[in-house]
Amino acid sequence: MSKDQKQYWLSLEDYKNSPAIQESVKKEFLSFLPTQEEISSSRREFLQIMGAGLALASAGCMRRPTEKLVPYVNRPVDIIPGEANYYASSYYDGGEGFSTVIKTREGRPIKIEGNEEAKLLNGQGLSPRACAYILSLYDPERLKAPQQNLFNDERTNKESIRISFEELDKATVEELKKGSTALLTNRIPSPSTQKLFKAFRSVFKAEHYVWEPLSREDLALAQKHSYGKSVVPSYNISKAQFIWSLNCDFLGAYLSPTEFQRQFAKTRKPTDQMSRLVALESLMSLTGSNADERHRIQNKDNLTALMALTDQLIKQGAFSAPARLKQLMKSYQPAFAGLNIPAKKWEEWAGHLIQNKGKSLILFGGLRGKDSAQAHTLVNFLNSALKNDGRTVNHSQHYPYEPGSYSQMEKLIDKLNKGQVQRLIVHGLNPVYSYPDKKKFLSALKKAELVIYTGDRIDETGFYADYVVPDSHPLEKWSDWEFKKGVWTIQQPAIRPLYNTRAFEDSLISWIKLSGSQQISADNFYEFIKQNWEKGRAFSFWDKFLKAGVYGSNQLKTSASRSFRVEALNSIKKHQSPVKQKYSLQLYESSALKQGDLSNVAWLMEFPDPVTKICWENYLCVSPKTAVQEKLKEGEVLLIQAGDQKLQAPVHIQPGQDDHTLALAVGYGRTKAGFVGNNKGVNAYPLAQSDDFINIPVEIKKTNQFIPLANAQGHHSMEGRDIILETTLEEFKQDPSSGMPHSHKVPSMWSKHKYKGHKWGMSIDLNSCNGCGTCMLACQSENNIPTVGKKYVLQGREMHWIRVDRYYKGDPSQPEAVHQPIVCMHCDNAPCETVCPVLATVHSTEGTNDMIYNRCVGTRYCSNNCPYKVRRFNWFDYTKREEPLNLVLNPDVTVRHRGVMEKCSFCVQKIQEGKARAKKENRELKDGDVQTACQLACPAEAITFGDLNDSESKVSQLFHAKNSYALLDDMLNTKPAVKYRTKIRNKKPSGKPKGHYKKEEAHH
Amino acid sequence: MINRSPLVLGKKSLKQVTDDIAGLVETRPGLKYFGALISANTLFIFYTAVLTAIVMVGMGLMGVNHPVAWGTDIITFVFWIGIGHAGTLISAILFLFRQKWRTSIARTAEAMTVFAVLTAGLFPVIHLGRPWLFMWFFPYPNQRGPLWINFRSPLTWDVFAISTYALVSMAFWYIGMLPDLAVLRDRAKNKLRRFIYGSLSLGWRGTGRNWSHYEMTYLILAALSTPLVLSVHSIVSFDFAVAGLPGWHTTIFPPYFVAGAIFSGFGMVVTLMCLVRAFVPKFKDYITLNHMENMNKIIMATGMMVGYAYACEFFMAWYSGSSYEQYAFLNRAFGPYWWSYWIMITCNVLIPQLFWLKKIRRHIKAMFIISIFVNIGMWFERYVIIVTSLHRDFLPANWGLFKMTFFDFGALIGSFGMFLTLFLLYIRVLPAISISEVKPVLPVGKKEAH
Repeated sequence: MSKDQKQYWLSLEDYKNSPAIQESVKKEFLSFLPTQEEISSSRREFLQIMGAGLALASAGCMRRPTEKLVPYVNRPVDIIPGEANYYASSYYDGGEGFSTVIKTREGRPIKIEGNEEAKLLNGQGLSPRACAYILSLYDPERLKAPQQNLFNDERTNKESIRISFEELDKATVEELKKGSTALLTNRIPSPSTQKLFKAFRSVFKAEHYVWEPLSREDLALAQKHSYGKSVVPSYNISKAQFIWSLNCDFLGAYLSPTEFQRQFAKTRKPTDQMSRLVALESLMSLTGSNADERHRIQNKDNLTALMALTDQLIKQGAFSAPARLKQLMKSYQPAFAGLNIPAKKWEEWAGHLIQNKGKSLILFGGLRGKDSAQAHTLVNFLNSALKNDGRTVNHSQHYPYEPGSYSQMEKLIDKLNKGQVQRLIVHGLNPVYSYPDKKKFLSALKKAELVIYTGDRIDETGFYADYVVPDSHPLEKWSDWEFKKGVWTIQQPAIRPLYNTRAFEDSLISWIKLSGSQQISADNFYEFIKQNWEKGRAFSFWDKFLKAGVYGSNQLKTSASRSFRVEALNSIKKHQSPVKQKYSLQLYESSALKQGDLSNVAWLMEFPDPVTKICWENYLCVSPKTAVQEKLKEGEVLLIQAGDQKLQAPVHIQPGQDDHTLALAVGYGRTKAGFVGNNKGVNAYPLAQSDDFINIPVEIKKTNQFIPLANAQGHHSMEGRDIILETTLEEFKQDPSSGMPHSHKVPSMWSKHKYKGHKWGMSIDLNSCNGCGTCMLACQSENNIPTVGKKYVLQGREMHWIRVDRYYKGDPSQPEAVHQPIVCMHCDNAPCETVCPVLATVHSTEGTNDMIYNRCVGTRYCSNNCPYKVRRFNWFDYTKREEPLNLVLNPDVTVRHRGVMEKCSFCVQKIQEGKARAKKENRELKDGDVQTACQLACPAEAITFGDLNDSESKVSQLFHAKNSYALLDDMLNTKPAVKYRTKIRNKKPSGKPKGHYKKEEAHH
Repeated sequence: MINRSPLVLGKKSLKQVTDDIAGLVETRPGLKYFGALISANTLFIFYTAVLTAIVMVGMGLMGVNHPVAWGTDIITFVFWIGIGHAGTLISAILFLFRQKWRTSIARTAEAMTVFAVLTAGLFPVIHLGRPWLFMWFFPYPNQRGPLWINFRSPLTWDVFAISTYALVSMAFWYIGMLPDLAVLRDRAKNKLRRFIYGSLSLGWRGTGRNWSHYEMTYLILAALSTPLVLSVHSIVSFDFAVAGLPGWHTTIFPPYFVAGAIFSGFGMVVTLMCLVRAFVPKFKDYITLNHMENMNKIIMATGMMVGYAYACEFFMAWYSGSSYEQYAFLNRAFGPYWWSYWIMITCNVLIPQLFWLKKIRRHIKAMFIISIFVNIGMWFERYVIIVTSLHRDFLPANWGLFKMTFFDFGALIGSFGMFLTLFLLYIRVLPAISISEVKPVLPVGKKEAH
């Protein structure tokens, strides 16, 4: 290559082509590899650089990344970080209504409490469902926007797409304008909603059908027959001295149990006025477990039993019998012997009823049955004849608005089939799941041109709807209610809708407005309610209403008795000897799941049934005798066949169950409820196709399969131990300490703790407690208690800090039951405290036994040494909660780590809060300033908490009452800060001798 | 003078003794040994995997629950701690009582103690909800407050008892081995061996001064260990006796646990010695049938003590008049865990009665089987104490059942992997019989020998 040919050059040296360059071109590398000498001479330098690098690197490690905290710049009015806000609201659970107070923290609802202003309703008491529905607000599976279902040929859901409310409203209104629209809802006792429905009906020429799966139409129908007006009466239980209840679980499920529990507890004070409860039942219900006297009866004998009572009342001259009754009596008399209740019992009860005229109450009622309306009519007659009507049967403060009825539903199905109803809006119901004849309903539904469903997920019914327009959660929307005639409550939302959902009422308003109608001037339901309430009232009324949450009467009324129409008795049929069948099935509602709408709430699923203590599924209750006869074992799966309906359910052997009755709860077996609720138990509704829920002829077949039932209680007899001490009213009146074994002075080697300030204590009245278990869920909500699932409940790893133990006593076929809430006893001589090697559980200066989670290493020694076994261990990491479920957590209570022990803290956060409040207000802490979560929620007011050092406090007086005892204290000298007051039954003393550790008949 | 039967058979010369014992360490092990080691190791690795899973996922993997909050971990912990007792008893107490027959089995028994304590020591840590915080058990100045420990808790006493026991028994074992390690050093044929055994023997030269200090140290350590034999298991028994549970809260526990520990410990020594005799035939001259018979006698004696304790518990339950106590014991024998109770009675009380027959006492296969039964029985004794007392206590509503899961079995069986791995390694790298202690009991130089 010649110099001239070179076109490109690198540098001037290159261009000049100096000899040095020519030399360098020959070399492969332009630079030289360092020689050995060079390296060793730069060793110092190397170290210097390395040192500098290290310093730099470590300097970089020392500073944490900056995380900027931004305070509220414009703090929302009323929100003080760290302080809770409370809003009065309401909750309608589909059956009973609650006036509530919603606790919110930093804008998110975290707990439901009762509203004590609502004296005629639940007061400060709640039910398990009312405590737990808050969890459904944060259900991760709720729909986040309206959905349109794209259908395939069979009109089953093919795909769901998200649509906007604008699109939806446009499409809907266009359709609705075509007419032949029907609204299918449950009974909604809300004046404004009903008014809105009325407007909707007139605007769109729509019809409104009211149906509920657990309908009380029998009761209303009998009222209409008997008195000419269809009402669902309320009962003044607190005014009744003698209650005779026939298959009526008024404490557990019937009508408004929380209210009844409250009233019932008031009558159970051990005075001369103490009420007496006689229960005749086919299955062991919560009411039966609280009865002073309980007998078994089959549902088919309901009328016969009432007749037997009537017979005795006539014989004892309570009233003169109408001719029709005499006639009927003749046909029933031969069947009395078949009731298996001694004749002298009927005499005794009739005597009591006559003695307590106007102060007694005959109750009947459960789910619908074939002759239930007849039985109700007879009950009405008796209550009228005994002058109870208007006194204990409260027809003026009744439950307003017609109950849903099956005949309406049938009419709707008929019209759908005939094409008279083309457009259907389903609200507040899940009929594809809960209508017994699902096929019939579905085929009718598929004929509709448009189905709009307002459920919060694409559930069983949502699957077949054209549009699913998610209704906002009750905590997100406004409403007003009239749960009881003359008692109105307001439902304030506690949070803006979490998602793009809209209250159903708002949907109706926008559809009415879009249709061009001027019927409604309000822009939304809030304004609509406000207008309704402000009309003709003082300016300040609305604010007062919102603040109190309740308006109207707050005293139980007695009113004149209605005249009973004797011709109503004609509706009662003569005794027909029933078709011989070995077993009949009774469907019942469980107090946790009821109709099955809150199935995706884990708290309710893991809530042990108050009587059976089983959670997570339903089961077929059989009597111990049936179990022996059919060779059944607990958990054995049976095939149940009723007509052409079949299903399989595991057996639970239930003491006190009637020998010919099998019982199965409805509300389980959802298939599209969500992760928690799907396929838990079986759906029992289809078995009720013969319009009868309580007397379904069934056949059972063994399947040789077993399903272990998750029973939260290990053993069901007290084994003759002094755990629940019991006495009778008569004995109590003579000696308040009756029923208690004489106590021993236990010497102590040390001088005891000194409590200079407060000494917290609790007194639990076993006589008031009915075992409903609301306390468990209130505690769960307050204290961030996780659920563990069926698998781990089976291993005994449920986490409830308060539990309600239920024991049976006596003959397993006719046992007595008792309930006992167990919390941490906060012993003065706590066995747990001494054995913890790392001081993770220590005694406070105020007598509480404090658990320090971050010190705990998890030896579980404390749990072993706790004689009450109230400690719960975090076997796995339960802190992870799917968002947004974490929002329900109470920020005042630590979420516990895996591997630490936890237990009841006496709501120490509430104690601190109470003390802080008192200090801020510059005053001493008063009795009642601190109320534990369980105490607040208890409808029976069985739990009293407070300062034992304050001799004036209610708790210290109760604590030292003569019938107050500490559990196991005689044996162990633990000196618990929780004492129980004896259970007192209003029955004849059994005359058992007092003694140490008396042995009672013990049965499993 | 009555002729005693010789403690070592085969009329060994001093050199022969050294050759026999040191030879085992110096020769390459056979396939059988490697087979055994690999099996034990596999089990050990499995054990590690099981424990890792439990630590990573949670205690919930095991069968423990509410109310049975202690399960396999604590049962097996007490089991292994109990096993350890025979070693200390043989080496310390029998030493103080000048029982010369102890010499040829002492070393291995001590090794067994050390390994059993190591195996046991892991369990209380693993059974914690948060095992990574186990150091919170120790009282040392810390930045957690400082957070001190609760000296009232029997678990705290346990920590001291077991760590003391582990340290003292290891020191005793090691100090006793010094002269023998020096022998191995002197016989070493390569640098590495000489270095390792040289370091381990701490410069032992066999001078008069060495021996004099050595004897004194050994005596002092023996005196120190002796109370430990009684105290360690007494304190372990306090875990139960100090608690208020029916079936636990009883004063008989300390002596009963100690007797049980010695019983189970000797059971394990007999098991291991039978295996050693089978796999290392020349050791039959050192570990003679007389040794085995002596140990079997102790098994029989302690077995009956344990049996007495079982009966005594029942008597006390009846005599106390407490229905809770009475129920706890009736439930033990006839409740849902009746089978565990009767396994315990059979293995611990009935089967060792066979040792009344001299033939069986001296029959290797028979005693091997019986010793296995003793091991099983003693594991079940702890199972009975822990599970049956916990599963039904005061309030019947709390009653429950305990079922072992895969992880329970894994931890139980796996722990044998750890123990056997350590033991198998020991038998080939350290002198399994004390050379320096066997030599003085030889008849060499005595009249009778000629």
